Amino acid sequence: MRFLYLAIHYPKEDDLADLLGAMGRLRQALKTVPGMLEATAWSDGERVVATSVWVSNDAFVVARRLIASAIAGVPFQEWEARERPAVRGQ
Amino acid sequence: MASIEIVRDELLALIDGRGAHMPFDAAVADFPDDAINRLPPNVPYTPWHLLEHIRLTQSDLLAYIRQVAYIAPTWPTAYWPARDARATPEQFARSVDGFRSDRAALRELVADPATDLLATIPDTPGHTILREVRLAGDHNAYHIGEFAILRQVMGTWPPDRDN
Repeated sequence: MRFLYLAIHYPKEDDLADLLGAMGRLRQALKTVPGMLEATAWSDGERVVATSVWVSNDAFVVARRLIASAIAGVPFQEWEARERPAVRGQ
Repeated sequence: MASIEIVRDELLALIDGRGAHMPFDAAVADFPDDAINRLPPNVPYTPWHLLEHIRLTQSDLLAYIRQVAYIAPTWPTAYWPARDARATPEQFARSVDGFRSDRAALRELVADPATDLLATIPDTPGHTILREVRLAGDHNAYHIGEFAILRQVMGTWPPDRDN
């Protein structure tokens, strides 16, 4: 069963473009990760909805270290106006 | 709520143009007939050309998702009217109606709990409905915003419009 990871970001107005840029770079970094089917992010002008689809929950778990490495140094906390909810699973 | 249902709601909001984006219906409202075929300054296409591009692209993405005898159209000729093409007010209205009709179909598809947003669309290189709907929403948002800016440049908003 495919696995969906979803995170909704609430960037500060001035940091929306930076956050979208970071999402784009993360998407590129994830392209070659085994088990990752697609990653995408879109904005309604205020929030950023980020998703990634995996072949399975196990594939996502295995890839978590790579994901953490890909976003190391990205100042999410500095850019976000509030805590972001992240939801995993179908 | 399960993540897939949250994503479904988010995609519906994207299709509807909710959030900070200008909705399609607001962008095309009260468009003056005499400006349908007018070129904005330094722009090689008319408002109707752009409207048709928005409609044709969404229509293509809907067909791609449905995969009913889908044949990929040729870029750019199948996605834009010819540069010298002109529309009547009735054709402009049909373009608006066509966009709304396809948007409603896309919306219905996404809202249906039986639609697996994560499944690969057959005969595609691994593309999912989630991906294609996101593409349609982004494309619409970009060009609807462009349409609204062109109206501003052309002075085609109703005089009593509240900016």
